[in-house]
Amino acid sequence: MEISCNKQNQALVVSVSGRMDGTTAHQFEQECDPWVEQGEKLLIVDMSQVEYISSAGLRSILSTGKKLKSSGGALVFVGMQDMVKEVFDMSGFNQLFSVYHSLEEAFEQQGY
Amino acid sequence: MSSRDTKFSWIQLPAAMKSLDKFRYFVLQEAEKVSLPAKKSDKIELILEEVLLNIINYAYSPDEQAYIDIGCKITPDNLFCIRVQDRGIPFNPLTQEAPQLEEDIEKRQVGGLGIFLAKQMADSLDYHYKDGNNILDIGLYLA
Repeated sequence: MEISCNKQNQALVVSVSGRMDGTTAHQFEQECDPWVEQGEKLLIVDMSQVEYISSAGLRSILSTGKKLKSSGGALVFVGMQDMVKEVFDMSGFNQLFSVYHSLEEAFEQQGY
Repeated sequence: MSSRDTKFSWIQLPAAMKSLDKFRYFVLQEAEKVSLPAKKSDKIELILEEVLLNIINYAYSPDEQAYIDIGCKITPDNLFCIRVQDRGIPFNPLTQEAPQLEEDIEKRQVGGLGIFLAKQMADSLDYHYKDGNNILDIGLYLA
């Protein structure tokens, strides 16, 4: 799994690629948490290059999501592939996090 | 060596994270031999990871010589069956309580989703304990 972060329109865009599984998922938290601690309020995760996610990936996402929520921020997702979307929906994560088709839509809906 | 049903083709590897890729490769190859659709192979990857991590993390104490056996076969009614066998502490993963999917983000538990997802993805999932083995049968229909 690879992760890169860049600032766009006052938000942090987190681009993830590869597999979010039991061996890699912790990287997501490790990468995002310092940004949350620095006061970032909106993290937009671009999932378009993520081909696989397991419960370990969901755990890592939820953990970061909780920290952002308690600091008054939000974690949102864009561009999910079918497999990832299915796992997300099945776990009720689509009720916890906003999911958009594109970055543009995410910026617009989040008022950026 | 654990007792293995000869109707399956088997692989045995240490119960460790480093075995995950090899187990996955073996099962996906077996699935390909019987032309399991790609959509079902995606499900297999997830089910396998969840079931195996459960065993690797909880079934054995750290000092034990720990192995997992995985066997695959196809049944006459076109069910691709994956048998996961370990000799760890007796544990039926299917009795694990379902996670609270309705909770909001503050209350939502981190964890407990793995076996729940495996149950959702498999067409059938059966557990039994026999001769010192935890035996979990995962089934996916070819069509």
